[in-house]
Amino acid sequence: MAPRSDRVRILGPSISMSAVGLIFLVPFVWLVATAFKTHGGLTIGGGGPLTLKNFQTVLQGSFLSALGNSMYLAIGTTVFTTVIGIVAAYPLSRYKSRAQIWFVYALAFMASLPIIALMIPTYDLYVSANLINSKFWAVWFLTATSLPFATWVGCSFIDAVPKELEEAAWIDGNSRFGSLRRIVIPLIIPGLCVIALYTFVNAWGNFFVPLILLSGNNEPASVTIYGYFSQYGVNYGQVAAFALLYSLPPVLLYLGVTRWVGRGFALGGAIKG
Amino acid sequence: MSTVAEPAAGASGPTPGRGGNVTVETRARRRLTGLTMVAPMLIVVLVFMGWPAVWTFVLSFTNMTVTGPTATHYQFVGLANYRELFTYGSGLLDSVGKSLYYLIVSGYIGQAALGFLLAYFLSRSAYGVRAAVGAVVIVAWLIPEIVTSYMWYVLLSDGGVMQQGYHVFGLNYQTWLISNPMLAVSLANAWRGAAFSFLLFSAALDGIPNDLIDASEVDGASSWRRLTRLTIPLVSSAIVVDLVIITLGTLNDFSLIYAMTGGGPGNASNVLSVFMYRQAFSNYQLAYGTAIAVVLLLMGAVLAALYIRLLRRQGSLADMR
Repeated sequence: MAPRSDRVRILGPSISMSAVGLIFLVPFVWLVATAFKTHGGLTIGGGGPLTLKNFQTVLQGSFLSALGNSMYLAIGTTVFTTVIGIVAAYPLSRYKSRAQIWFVYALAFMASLPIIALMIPTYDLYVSANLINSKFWAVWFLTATSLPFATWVGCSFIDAVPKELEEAAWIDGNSRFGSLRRIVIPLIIPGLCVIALYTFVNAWGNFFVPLILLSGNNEPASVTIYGYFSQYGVNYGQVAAFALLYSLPPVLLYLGVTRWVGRGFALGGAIKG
Repeated sequence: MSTVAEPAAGASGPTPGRGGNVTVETRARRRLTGLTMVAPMLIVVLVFMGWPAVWTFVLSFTNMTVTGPTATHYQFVGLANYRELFTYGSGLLDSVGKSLYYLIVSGYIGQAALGFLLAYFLSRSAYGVRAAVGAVVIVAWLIPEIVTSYMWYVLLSDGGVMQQGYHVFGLNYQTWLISNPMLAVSLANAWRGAAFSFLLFSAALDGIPNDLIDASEVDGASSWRRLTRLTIPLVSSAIVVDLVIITLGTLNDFSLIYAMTGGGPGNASNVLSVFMYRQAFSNYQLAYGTAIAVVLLLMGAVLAALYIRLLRRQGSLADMR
């Protein structure tokens, strides 16, 4: 009796939510369909026989180098942010004092500030210091703006590691760095993955930082796609194939990390939105 | 000698040693280790974030431009930029209005309310529906913002999928990118951001004990009463956190709007961040742009302070999950 009434009860929500899901799906249907069409256009239907040629075209030349630039920015930012952030988070978590607590508040505050408001002076400073149009220095700006959040979240992950485990390591003669490396880091690897995922997705998709700091051969994929917006007679199939490839890494990474650490846990790294 | 006489504050148990020797960690040593570990983060943040923040304020009192003689030989002009900005007709008021529209329509209605409805009804849907719809919504959130902008730009443009849909019902479609650009960008942003609220509320709803729901059912409460009297009050702290985070994110959003409409047509979608960017880089009035940036920063700072107060009150700053 209960299963039957349950089935009736989930019918309404299931149908209405399926409808919402189908509406959400429309942009993806256009993107995927167009990417595989010979003569893709603005519509979902038509466009000639299916082909893989668009993907072959965008996997070379300037398209590929734009993806390479995105990879450079995202991996550089992720590595620097995760390493520097977790090393800084350790003393902030372990040496509890009033000053430390206020420091963590300051980090949370900085993590919430609008980075877009810093772009004009950053542009000016980068021009005068001759750092403009350098991927390496763009990575440092992205790292600096990711660090407050990464350090703040890192603190809460380290808080969860019992101090007794470290004390045992100290008795064995380990230093602070030793217990951080041998005890704390292995225990917070899921947390590190969440921080890395969050940093990577943000740096990979970032548009306005490279728009202002990078140009020409240093352009990442986001700026390349922006170049196709108002162009008419553009090859939609190629742009769609490129956008599809560009969208894959964040989705695959998210799948990998959440499958491993659990979705609820991964949300901790995304809570800033 | 002093190394033994001055043990670390509050250290009752063992303390870290070095290279196999168990020694007492002194307070000075503790402080030094701590500072060494925090230093790299502090330096990077101060140089690449702190300095631009200070420089925003400095530049806003100058007459710097991108090109021309005042590009390098700029002068301090006092409050001139602010006086111009706060004059009626500067476009500031108009931009604030656009930003508020964007916040309410795409942030509160589009993302928060839609995210809540998704979380609420998907938790009551068949497993397959829950998994499939949840996946689509989350993927929309994960893909780069510029791809979202591009898809919606194409979808809403002349001859696009939206026009086809209108034709099916025999309606005439005039592209929203021109006729109602704020609605166009709000739609795209709702599509993109609903997942965040959905995930947050799903977690909050999962936390409600089943017995509470069962008890209210036994009491004969209607599902509307259950929602408004039981579920919403129980997840109210999640709602507040969600709204504050959405406010912070939506007011600072730039990429989606700039890519889809460029702030136009005319100034029709000139939200604050786009207004700032266009003054600085399209009109080359760098210093004037930083005055707008200061307004953005101060608004952001007030909101951020509110957010932190909130987290402190909930005692969840350290354990925000």
